[in-house]
Amino acid sequence: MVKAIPYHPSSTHAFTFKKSTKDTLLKLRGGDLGPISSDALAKTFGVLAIGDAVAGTVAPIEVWDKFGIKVEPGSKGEHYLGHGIGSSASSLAVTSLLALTEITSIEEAIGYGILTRCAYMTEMLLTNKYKELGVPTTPHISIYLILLAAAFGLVSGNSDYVGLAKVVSIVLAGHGGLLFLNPRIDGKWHTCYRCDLLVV
Amino acid sequence: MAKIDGGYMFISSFYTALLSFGVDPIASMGYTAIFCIPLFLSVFDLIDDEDQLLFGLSTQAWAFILVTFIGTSAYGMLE
Repeated sequence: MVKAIPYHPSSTHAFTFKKSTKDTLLKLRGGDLGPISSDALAKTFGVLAIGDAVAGTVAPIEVWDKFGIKVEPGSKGEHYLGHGIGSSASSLAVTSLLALTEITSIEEAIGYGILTRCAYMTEMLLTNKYKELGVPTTPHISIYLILLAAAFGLVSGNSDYVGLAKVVSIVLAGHGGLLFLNPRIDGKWHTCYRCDLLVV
Repeated sequence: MAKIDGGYMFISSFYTALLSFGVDPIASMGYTAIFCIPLFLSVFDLIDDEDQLLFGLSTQAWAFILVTFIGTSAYGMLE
C-alpha cells in the first residue's frame, strides 16, 4: 500500500501519492519558497538579466561607476563590461523569459537567444570594431555564420537544429568557463584574449 | 574584467545548453543561478576601494546578501 503524503507545503493539492525516490537520488532537491513559486523565482532571474543587458549596452561606464568600478572610455574593459556582458545577458534574458512564459517553444526560445547574441556580433562586424580589437576576420565570421544558421534553423521550427544548438552552447560555455577561470590576457595568455573577442 | 565577461558568457550558454538537452526551464535556471554566485563575487574584486560603501552597505554585506538571495532562489527553483 502506498501512503499518501503532502508533496509540498505550497502545493494546491492537499495530498499526492508517494513519489519514487529513484528519480531524486542524484538531484539537488528543492522546491517553492513558501508563497513564492519556483516559476516566479526563475522569471525574476530573467528580469535581472534584462537589467544587466540594458546597463551593459546603454551606459556601462556610468552604471559600473555607481558600484565603485572605474572603466576607461574606449578601453578593452569597456568592451568586456559593456558589450560582452550586454550580449550574454540579453541572450540569457530572451531565452529564459520566452521559455518560462511559454510564449514560444523551447527550441524557438533557444533560437531567439542565439539571434540576440548575433545582433551584437553584427554590430561588431558593421563597425569594424573586431578589427580594432585585433580579432582575426575568418574565425569571427565563421562563428557568426554558425550561430546564425543555428538561430534561423531553430526559429523556423526545425528541431533538427537542436543538435547544432547543443554543440554551439557547449563550445560557448566551455570558452566562457575557461576565460572565467583563467582571465589573464597579457603575455603568454594573449592568445586566450584574442579568442575571447571572437564571440562577444 | 575579462573574467566577468567570460563568467556571464558561461552562465548564458550553460542555460542554453541545459534547455537544448531537455532540462526543465525552471530547473535550468536553478542550476544556472548556482553558477551566478562565483560570478557576482568576482565582481567585488574589481572595486577599487574595498572600504567604500555601496548604497550604504559594505561590500562584505552585499556579498552576504547576494549569496543568500541567489542560493535561496536556486534552492527554490530546483527539484
